[in-house]
Amino acid sequence: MMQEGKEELVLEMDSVFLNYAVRKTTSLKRAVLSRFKWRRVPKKKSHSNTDREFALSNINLKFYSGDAVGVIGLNGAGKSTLCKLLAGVLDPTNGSIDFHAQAGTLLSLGSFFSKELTGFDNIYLAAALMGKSYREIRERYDDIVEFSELGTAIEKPLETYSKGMIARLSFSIATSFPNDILIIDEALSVGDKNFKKKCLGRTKALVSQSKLIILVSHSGRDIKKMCNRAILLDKGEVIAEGAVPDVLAVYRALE
Amino acid sequence: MTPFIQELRKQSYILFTLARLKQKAKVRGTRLGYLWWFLEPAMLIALYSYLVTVIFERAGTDAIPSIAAGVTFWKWWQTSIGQATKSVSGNKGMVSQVNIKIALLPMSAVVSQTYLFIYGLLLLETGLMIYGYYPDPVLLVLALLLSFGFVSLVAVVLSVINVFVRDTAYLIGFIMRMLFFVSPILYDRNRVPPDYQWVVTYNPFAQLIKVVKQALLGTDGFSIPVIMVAIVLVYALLYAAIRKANAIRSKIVLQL
Repeated sequence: MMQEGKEELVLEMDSVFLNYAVRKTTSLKRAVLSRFKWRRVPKKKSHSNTDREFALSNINLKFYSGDAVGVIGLNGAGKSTLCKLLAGVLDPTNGSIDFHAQAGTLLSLGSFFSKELTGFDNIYLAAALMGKSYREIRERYDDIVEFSELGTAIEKPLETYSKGMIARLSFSIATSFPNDILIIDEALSVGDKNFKKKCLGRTKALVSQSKLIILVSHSGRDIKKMCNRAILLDKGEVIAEGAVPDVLAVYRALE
Repeated sequence: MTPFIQELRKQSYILFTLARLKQKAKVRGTRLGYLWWFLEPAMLIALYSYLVTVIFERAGTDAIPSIAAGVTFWKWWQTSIGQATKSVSGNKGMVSQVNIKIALLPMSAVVSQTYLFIYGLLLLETGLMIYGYYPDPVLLVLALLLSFGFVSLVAVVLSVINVFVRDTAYLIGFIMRMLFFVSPILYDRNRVPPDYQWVVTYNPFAQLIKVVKQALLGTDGFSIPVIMVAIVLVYALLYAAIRKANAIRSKIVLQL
């Protein structure tokens, strides 16, 4: 899928480390009870994927325009954290990220839509948050509604929508105002088969416009269909990177 | 257009869109809709006026206009601070998905409440003018500027603290209720015993109330240069708080 001769560097991650929050949320209750909890339940060393100091550790990656990169890994491997770094939502604790393009638009399952508002209002809200002006939003409004296939439901509050409808609306908004980088963090996992097919078509079109697409998914099939490169994360580290079939083989061994 | 102006326009559009849609979400499903913007302050003024003038029989010449002015402004400050405190922790999805300036969230809560307040203020002014109280326009603009700046400053600071210490949102509800009763809103400052005058002197809301009453009712207050200095100081602190909140966005996202 990568375009020959189009290897323009879009972003580069150099020795990136990201620490978890040093202190967990404090509450008076926890502050009072923690001492007793600590005495009753001695801290055990865990082998969990999430029990580590660094969310991401020594990440060195280069992304090029026209790339569609699949990111895979077990739960807690650091995939979503990597997405937040690529979207400019988080800053690395150590190392650097050089953006040679606009920071990415992050599309994930935990939508930031306001549930009390209608689909119509949420389009204006989401697009405004993406930095679009009223005029730009008005120009794209019909396309967004048409692509999302929501029809008259667009006038209803989001609390009446299914997860699939919300995913359709999110994808439609994010791809109607494409930044140079689009990051899809498992947002397509709840869509139906037909909509997935439609999304695949639009994603391919974006890649052909030299945009960088990053797709996080547990589905090797989706990654095979949409990506030309893959990255495997485990315990916050990149353990494999390269052609999709090779990386998927390592992933299967890990599972 | 310079990049600075472009960025300012973009951030202002986000701010006002967030504020407008928050208000829309709030009245959605209510039968009286935006009429609540007038009804809420009117009912509060009626309630406190009844309490003070009928039950406690404290009816001075300025009692009801003074209560009306104080309660209308207090409602604005209290709801702004209350909603802004939870604005960052309550919008985890937005903060962790979109690279927006953190301070926009508490500021949008304040702007959203300011819409509501403007309607209350119009109602209040109409009532005051019927009773023969005409505002000092310069002082009124200064009182509004000072109030907006101070409330925004408190809002930004508390919204960030609440991410790290979640009890802040509960505590602030109690503190604001306490401050309402220790600020001379329902009574005159002269009624506070000399030993407790410090409660008024060191209470910034009591000083704000003084400026508001000075602007709306022509009571004694501060000189204009003193108010101007306070405005400059408040906006300088607000600017610093906004910059700090935006600078620690990564820590905030990781904490949420």
